[in-house]
Amino acid sequence: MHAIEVSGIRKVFGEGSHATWALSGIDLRIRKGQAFGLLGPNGAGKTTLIYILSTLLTPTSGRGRILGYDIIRDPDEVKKRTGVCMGGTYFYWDLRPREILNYFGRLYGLDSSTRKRNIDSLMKRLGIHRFENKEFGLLSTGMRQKVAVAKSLLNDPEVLFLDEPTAGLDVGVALEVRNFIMDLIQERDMTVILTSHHLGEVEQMCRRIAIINQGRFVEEGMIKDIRDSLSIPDVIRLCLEKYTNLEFLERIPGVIHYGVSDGLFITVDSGRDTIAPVLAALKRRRIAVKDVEIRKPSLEEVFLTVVGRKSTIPRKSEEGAR
Amino acid sequence: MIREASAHFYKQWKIMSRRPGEMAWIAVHPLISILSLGILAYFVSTGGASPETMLFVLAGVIVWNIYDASQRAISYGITLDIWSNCLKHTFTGSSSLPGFVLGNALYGLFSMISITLVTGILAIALFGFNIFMAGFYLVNFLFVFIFAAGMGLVINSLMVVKGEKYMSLMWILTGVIMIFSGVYYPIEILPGPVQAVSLAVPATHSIISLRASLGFSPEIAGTELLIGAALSLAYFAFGALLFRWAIKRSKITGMLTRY
Repeated sequence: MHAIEVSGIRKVFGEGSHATWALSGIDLRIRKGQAFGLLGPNGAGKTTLIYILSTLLTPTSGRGRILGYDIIRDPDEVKKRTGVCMGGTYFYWDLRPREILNYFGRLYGLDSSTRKRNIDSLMKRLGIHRFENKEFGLLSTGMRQKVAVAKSLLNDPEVLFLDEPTAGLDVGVALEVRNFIMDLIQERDMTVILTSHHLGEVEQMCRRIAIINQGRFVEEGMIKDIRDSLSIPDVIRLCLEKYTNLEFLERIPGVIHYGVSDGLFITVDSGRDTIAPVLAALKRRRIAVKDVEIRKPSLEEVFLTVVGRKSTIPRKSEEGAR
Repeated sequence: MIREASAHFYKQWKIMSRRPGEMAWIAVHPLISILSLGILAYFVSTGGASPETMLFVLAGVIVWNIYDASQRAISYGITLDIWSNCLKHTFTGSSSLPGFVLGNALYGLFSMISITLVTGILAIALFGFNIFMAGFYLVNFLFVFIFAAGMGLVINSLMVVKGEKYMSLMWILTGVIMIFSGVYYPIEILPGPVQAVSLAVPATHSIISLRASLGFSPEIAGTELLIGAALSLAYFAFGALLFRWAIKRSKITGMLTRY
């Protein structure tokens, strides 16, 4: 059974000449227990889709089911079984973390003993108990986001929507939050949709992704399959004894270009096919090789290729290219 | 639904208890009203007006304070969420309409009872006016509360559909209701068309019923009570339906996700 089933979801904001298409026909099926990454540039429709699935927005057309419950006809059943965590969350500034969680626990209809147990457990695991006497308005961004994460897990959700959950957090807190969520996903066999601008985070947490652009899925599948399907060059990094007289590399079939910057970087059509002739050519010229690494394209490179953007930050291989 | 209602009551209670100014409003605002208007009425009555003038005005002041506090309690259900940019989070919880209305209404009821006690006791202590002598007709307060809850839901609907720019209605509307419902004067002194509007306001009838029961014209107290009750329930039903539509509408326009 699929935990999330979406077919033909469209969302238009405004009417007539002011109409803006936020989603233009989204189809998606996510199996129970799967963590699914949703990538896309700002305004691509990621958050709109999360809002629709969490029943905060009504789609213009199309259907969606969460754990078999229709998102339009059974919103209360959907809400009971889902959790939503958004980045940059605000709650009531005058309330303390426990009071905020108590409020949402009541909203979810949890009885007092379950509420207390879940709140105590989440506060302890996320370290919220250390600042539980501070009002929300006095908390740091990281502390606030931990409260948001705790809120999203209060009702033991089977499906969790994470909309940029680590946005604005420093590296340490982001790692802490990410590890906590990953532990929980494994413990509870939760189905997760994650949107994030930290592509490393998506790669770490999800095996399957969709890349959304201008309201459409432009790629969808396992990260590995998407990577393989796109003709994005591999990079071979070599640690050599010396870095002079390397012009011969340009004549090796499959080599696109090369450069030296903290090692020799060779951009190639296929790392697997080109590594042998490169090593043979170096051996013939008596250039000792200390270390070899073939780097597949990063998710960032995949993302930029799919959404049709070029990175403004030159890669190492480009920096040193002659 | 009871747990959801308790959530909304809990939220308002906790937030308000952290805001001394808001809590003081329950006691201080009625005190100011009773003092200023009571003294004015006393001054007028010593200047030749009927001695009942003071009772007439004080009954209106008490009802108006009850209306004001009750309407604000319902409106705060949404206003606090908009202020805190937390509206979408409330609606990701299982926030049903009956739970929302009941929870915030319970807080409104708490405010109403507090206001009734504060203003009632002050009126006795300062002017020897005992509102509790109305006995059974104190039930008018309940219908004023129901009317105020309905109007609170109308304001909530506007805020949910159009955004925070309609928030100021929360304060403006109480003043408008005060003018039309004859808090400080008999509506008979108003021009004809304005009187027609006054008669469509439930609080007008509740105030007339309450005053009538205190000896002004006891024979109409029952009829006015029933008219006030029927109109209040109708306004409440309208407010609830409008709010239900507003939530649906805001899920289409995306306004619910803005805050």
